[in-house]
Amino acid sequence: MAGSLIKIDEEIVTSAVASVTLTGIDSTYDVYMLQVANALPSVNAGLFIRATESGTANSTANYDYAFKTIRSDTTFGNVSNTNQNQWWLSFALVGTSQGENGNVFIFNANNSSEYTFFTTEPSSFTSSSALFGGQGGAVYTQTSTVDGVYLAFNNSANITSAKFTLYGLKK
Amino acid sequence: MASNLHFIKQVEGTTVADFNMTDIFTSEFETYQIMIAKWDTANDDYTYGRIINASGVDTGSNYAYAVQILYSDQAFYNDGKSNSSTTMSYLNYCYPAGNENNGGLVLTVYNPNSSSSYTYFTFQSVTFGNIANRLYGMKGIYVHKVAETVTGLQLGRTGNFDHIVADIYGVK
Repeated sequence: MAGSLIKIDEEIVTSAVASVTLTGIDSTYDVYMLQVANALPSVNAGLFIRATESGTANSTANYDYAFKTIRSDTTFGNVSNTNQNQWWLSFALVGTSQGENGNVFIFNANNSSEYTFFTTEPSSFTSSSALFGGQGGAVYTQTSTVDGVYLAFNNSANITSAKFTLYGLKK
Repeated sequence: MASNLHFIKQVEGTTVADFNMTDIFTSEFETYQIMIAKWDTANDDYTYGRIINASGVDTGSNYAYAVQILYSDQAFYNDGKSNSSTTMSYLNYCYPAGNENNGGLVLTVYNPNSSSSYTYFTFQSVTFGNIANRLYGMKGIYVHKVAETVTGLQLGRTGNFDHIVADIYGVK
């Protein structure tokens, strides 16, 4: 991957916002990577992700996901669901002082004849002081042209601090 | 178009008990990728990690981890520890010369330069022991639970690293 990561969009949050949208996915690259660094909520919450079409997040029940949880405090587990309104970076409930980190790879987003796929590899710290992460995937089950991602916390939490960066992987 | 994956430097160790990668994290990047493809070791054992800060290597009980070990010939093994770990355990498992095909490690490091947040890691590795005819895959996460500036990383094990080479990248 050396020398192949091209920045497309970036949002650095230093004061509270409800959500962040990163756009710029097009046909230039086949694969894109979203990097989340130290995303903090205003109250205990989990970070979720939606696909955007023409810059607008799609919140219809068209997200499926499957995730293997690995955590420092108890046995590992599995999380899966279908026809959801979003999917989750890590499925962790994080606190307000230590947040969520991870890389998400995005496949087929700009191809209007294919679903958009995601893989995620997070490392987060929960509100109960456990290290929480894992490996998993999600799919947006619409054959549409996806041009970006929308990120927000649940529980009506604002994003108080974070760095979100969207990269293209150079062919 | 300029790339946003920046090669910082290569660090090499020869016949060392601990492999220290010093001054690799700076304010220029928030996220780093460390790739290690060369592992020659004196004996067979797991590799662990510790952070390096302004005072040196942190050997305190300041780490938490969750790791899944994927064997090619037996059931997988999970291990996690929330408190009081003195190491980031199970980075990989290496065999000595003649008994090994010691493969690769990809380690992503988040927020090491931030003095207000913990430092987080995600990694995956793969090695092969000829003597056991066993593939070892490891996938996991670590956190150094001190909000302080981290400047480097130390890898250790019981026994020397005969030769180890790490390539350090910053993600801009």
